[in-house]
Amino acid sequence: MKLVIPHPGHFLALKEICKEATGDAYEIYMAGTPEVLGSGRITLHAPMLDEIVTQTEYLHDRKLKIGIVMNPSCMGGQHLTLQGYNTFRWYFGKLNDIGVDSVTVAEPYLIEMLRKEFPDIKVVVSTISHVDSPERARFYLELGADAITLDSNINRNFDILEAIKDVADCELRLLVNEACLYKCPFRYSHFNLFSHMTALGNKPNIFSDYYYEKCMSFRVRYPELVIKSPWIRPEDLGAYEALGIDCFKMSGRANTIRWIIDCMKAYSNRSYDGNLMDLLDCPSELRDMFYIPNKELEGAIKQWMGCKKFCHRCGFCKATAERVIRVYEFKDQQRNTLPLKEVRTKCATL
Amino acid sequence: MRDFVTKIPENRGKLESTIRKFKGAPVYIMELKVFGTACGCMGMLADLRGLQTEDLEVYQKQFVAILSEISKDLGLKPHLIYARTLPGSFEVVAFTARELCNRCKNELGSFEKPRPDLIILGNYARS
Repeated sequence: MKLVIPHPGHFLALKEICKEATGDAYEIYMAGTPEVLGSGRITLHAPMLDEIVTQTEYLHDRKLKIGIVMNPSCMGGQHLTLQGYNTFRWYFGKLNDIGVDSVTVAEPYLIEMLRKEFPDIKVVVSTISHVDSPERARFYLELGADAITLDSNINRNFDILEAIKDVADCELRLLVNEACLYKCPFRYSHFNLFSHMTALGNKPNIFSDYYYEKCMSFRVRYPELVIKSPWIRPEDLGAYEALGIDCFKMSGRANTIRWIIDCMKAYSNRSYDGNLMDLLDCPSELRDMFYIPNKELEGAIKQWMGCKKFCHRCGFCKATAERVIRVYEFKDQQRNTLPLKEVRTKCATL
Repeated sequence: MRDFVTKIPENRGKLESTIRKFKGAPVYIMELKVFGTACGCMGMLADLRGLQTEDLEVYQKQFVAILSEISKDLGLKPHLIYARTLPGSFEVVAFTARELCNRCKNELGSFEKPRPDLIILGNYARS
C-alpha cells in the first residue's frame, strides 16, 4: 500500500508529519505558489520556491516523495495565452530543477504541456478532472498522464473501477477521506470558486461560501448523506487492493497537523476504533454533531461493492444511518450521544 | 467570571436541544458567542446549520422564547432578535440577540427589514 499524505505547506508541519510518518507513507503533497496558479482547495500556506527547495531536500533525505498540487478547475483561459504559457512553463521548469517528484493538475492542457516539456516530472491527474470511466481515463493517458486520481464519486462503484484498471496501465489513486456529497450538485461550482479564491489577482468579494454552508446544512437535515458520501474506511482498503489499486490519497491539507497525522496512522493501521467523522475531511465541521462508530460499519463494503446507485430503491445507506449515527447532546456540562431516530421525529429524508 | 464563561457552552447546548425538540429534526449550533462591538452594541450570536427560512415562519414564537431565555441567563437584555440568512438562498446561518447602541437602534432597530439578509424575529428597540 502507498499512502499519499496531505501537508498544509509550512516546514514545521512537514517535520512533524515526517517524525510520525508510517512505513506506508509514499508521497507528501502540498499546494504550489498562488502567484502562478490557484488550487482546487483552501490553501493556508503557499510555499515560495525556496521553501519548496528546502522541503524537497528534507523529504528526499527521508526517502519520501514530494508532490505539488496545482489543480484549479478554472483558469479563465489564462493558460492558453502566451503570457500564461510562459509563466507556467517557467514555474514547472523551476519545480523540475528542484527535483519535485510529481505535479498534480486538473487542466488537460497542462497535463500535455508537462509531459512534453518536462518528461522527468511525474504527471498526476487530479480528482478534479473527474475521471469516472475507462474512456476518460484513456483520454488522460493519451495526454500523457503517469497517474490518475479517480473521481471520488466512483469509489464505491467496483465495476467501473475494475474497467478503468483494465484500460489504464498507470498508477491509479483513490481519494479515501474527502467525503464530499455523493454526486454533489455543488462540486463543479465549488471547485471553480476555490480556483479563483486561491489564485492571486482579482478575487470576487463573496459574502459567503454558499456551497460549503449549503453542503453542511444538507447533511444536518439529511444525515444519511454522510453515509452515502464515498469515503473508504481504513478497514476496507483491502477490497481495492484486490482490484490492483494500492495507492490511497488522503484529503485534508487545510486541517491541523495532528488531524493529518492521526488520519495517516488510521489508514496505515487499516483500522480505526472511534468516530468515523474524525477521519473525514469535507464534513469535519460536523464531528461534534455526529458520532458514527466506525467499527459498526463493518461489512457495509460488501453492499457497496455491488451497489447499483439507485438510492431511492435501495435504502441501505439510509437504514445504516438510522442504525449507527448518534447525535451529540450537551447537557449539564456533559456530552452524551442520542440515537438519530430520537432526534429525528419529523424530518423528511432525501 | 468563570461561572459566566461556563454558561456559554451550557446555553449553546440548551439552544440546540430545544430547537431539535420543537422542530423534531437535527439542527447544529456550531458556536455560541457573546460579543461586544466597537459601536457599543453587545449580545450573543449563534452560528448554526440545518434551519431554513420556512422554519422561522413556523417556529418564530419558539425561537424568540428560547433566545430570550438564553439572553437573560447571560445577563443580556436584547433590543433586537434576528436571524441571518445566506442572501439568495433559504439557509439560515445565525441567530443574534443584541442590545443596540444608539446608532444601531436607529440603523437596525427602526426598520422592519433593515438588511436583505436579516429576518427580524423580535424588535423591542422602541419599547
